Amino acid sequence: MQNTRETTNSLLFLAPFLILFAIFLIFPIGYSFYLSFFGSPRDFSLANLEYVGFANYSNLLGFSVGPTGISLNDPAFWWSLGVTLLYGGLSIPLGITASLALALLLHNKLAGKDFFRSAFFLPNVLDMLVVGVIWGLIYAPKYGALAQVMNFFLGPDQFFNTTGLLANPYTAMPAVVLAMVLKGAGFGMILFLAALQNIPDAVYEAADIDGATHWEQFWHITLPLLRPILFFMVVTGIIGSLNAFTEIYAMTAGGPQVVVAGETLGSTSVVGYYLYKQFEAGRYGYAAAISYVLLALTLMLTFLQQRLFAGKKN
Amino acid sequence: MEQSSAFRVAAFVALTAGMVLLSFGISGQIFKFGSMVLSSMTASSEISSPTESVPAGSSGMPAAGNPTPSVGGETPVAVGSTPSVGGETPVAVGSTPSVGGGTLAAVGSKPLADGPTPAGSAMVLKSAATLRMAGLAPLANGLAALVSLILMAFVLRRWIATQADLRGRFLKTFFLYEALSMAVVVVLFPFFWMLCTSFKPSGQELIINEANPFDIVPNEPTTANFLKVLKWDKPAGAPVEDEIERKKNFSTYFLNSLLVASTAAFLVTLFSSMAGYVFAKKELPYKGYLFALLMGTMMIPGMMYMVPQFFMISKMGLCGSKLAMFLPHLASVFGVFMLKQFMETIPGSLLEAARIDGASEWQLFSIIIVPLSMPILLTLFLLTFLFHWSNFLWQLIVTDFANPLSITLPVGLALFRGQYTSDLGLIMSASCFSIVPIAVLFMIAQRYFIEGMTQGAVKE
Repeated sequence: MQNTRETTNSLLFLAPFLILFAIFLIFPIGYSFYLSFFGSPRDFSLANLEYVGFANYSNLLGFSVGPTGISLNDPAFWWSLGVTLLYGGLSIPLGITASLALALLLHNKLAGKDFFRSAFFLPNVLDMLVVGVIWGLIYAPKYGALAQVMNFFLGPDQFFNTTGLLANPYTAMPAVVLAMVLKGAGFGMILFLAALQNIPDAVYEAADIDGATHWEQFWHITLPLLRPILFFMVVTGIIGSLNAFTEIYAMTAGGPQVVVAGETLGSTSVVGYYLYKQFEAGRYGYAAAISYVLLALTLMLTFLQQRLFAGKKN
Repeated sequence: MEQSSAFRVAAFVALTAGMVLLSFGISGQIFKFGSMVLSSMTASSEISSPTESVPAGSSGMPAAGNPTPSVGGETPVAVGSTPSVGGETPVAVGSTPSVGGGTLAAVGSKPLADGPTPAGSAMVLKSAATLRMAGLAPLANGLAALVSLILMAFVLRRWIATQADLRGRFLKTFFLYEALSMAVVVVLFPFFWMLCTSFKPSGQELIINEANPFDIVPNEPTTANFLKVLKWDKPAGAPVEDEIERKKNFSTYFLNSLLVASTAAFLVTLFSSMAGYVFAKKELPYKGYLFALLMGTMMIPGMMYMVPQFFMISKMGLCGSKLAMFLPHLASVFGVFMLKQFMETIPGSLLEAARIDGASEWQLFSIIIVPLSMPILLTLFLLTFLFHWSNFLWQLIVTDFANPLSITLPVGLALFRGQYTSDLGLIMSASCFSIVPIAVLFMIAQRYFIEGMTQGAVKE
């Protein structure tokens, strides 16, 4: 009897969370799958969904082989995956480098260490949209801070003043990445700092005796010992790239447009932004199908990484 | 560290020069910012009595409006800008606005008595603030020079006191400080620029100091941007259909966000602590499997939930309500995980003792578990508050734009930016409503933020 009472009590305590969890985190996984087989061909309302079978998936992932070669059914989706890859490929290594550099600078006996820690961490807690808006204005031509400073040094007739970083397809993505790296560097810094403090001094002393240079010590001692943090940063970086939306919405709105192989595509249209655009256009079933492809992709990547990093350890 | 002493001296001189430049630039900008806030505030307080009586709008308006400038005074401690080379020049440029310095004094005092008209008060405000700022400028520059001098004297003393063989290490530390300060400037510059630009009069955002582009604090500060963002510049007695239009301002958005974020944070903390208690301390069949299921859902990217959750919310007929803004995010797996980790460290003997004394299950939870977990509960509360404060995408898709009174801060800012694409001063002062409260909150409770946010990663 004691056990049943204990179970009842536990369930009572768990109930509010568990009900919400089941409704809003478990049920949607199946519901989303269900929705991905529906389309709204006639209007954008939620009520008039029609069963379309696998059409969403075939429109999304399919391709046809014609006389001119392979043509994709939805090139914009594949393009957005590529843009996401670029975003992650730039922001993850840069973010790790920046936060590791800050951590190494701070990993010294310094007075006022806490001040620097907090100052670097501060942008992390601020609203992504607002930070994106501010950076968008910094990069803006004519009235942006960057344009004004560059005017002072280079005169008014230069790139930053006439076009601006965000309006050029080649510089838009690096500019977004730079802003996000500066916003997020403090987070990784704290993680690296904690890990650095856990490395015993004796290891370095031994290396000193063996005549290892500072660079060798960093490369052969510090970096391998930081691997768990590196792994964590790569995983969260990948999930962050797949989830990236707000920064793109705030800074570039997916633009500037580029024409690739006859298709007009947004040079910063990452997959999260593309998903939102489909949703906004009322193509709900299609958006659900994209979500599912994204989910599969995330799980695959996480699995791969786990294998990769686990393999390296031995 | 086998450098010659000549090299060391040269490095020391170079580093000292860099430090003077840096400290004078940063402290100069900070003091100038402080004097700007001070002068705008004193100027606005003089005319605040007529202005406040004009829009007798929603009760929260004065409360939401006033803290912003005063709070701004505290923030610059951490903020700076790159070195200002020409120290004296900004003052000279600043003190000669369109109106002569002498006449300004008269203008500054007179219309205060007679003008509750919004346009007039904005004008007065600008000139009065400008005048005060010009008065405070020598003080600000003097203080900046003083700070640099003190730092220089301090460094020199330390350099002389340091033995020759330890000077290499001293130089390294010196360099570290300078590098870190530069990094802080780079990281925090956007926010300092935001604060400065929000005080710039409309149309003047373009005008920078020709002598020194790094001098970004305006010489003619105005609070007109804030008044416009809050719609305090509109005359009273407007027709009723304009009432909603008038309430469609950032004090409403701010209150909405505050309500949504704090309600959500409270509920999440409550529910997660109850669930965490069960997972940490109580018996339940298949508890392990259930917890594994929770952990599994953490791998799912949040984007994937957008479509189905939106469908569910709109089928429930909640679209546009404040409940919809946070309801789907009330089940916080991360919160349960964090609290479970902490509650496992609470000794079970405490619970046993209380049980023997006849405490009920709820009493066990509320008298023992909750007080002992207070720090972690506070952390979770703050983190959840933060999440909902900036939960832009979800709030954007469930907002019913036909009902502007339900708009939250991020959505309001996105909307606002669409209207005033290039009016920097307005967008920046609107941004302050989101940034400044969180920055202040962070400074008060930074330990909780930093530990809470990084905890999940370290505990692998």
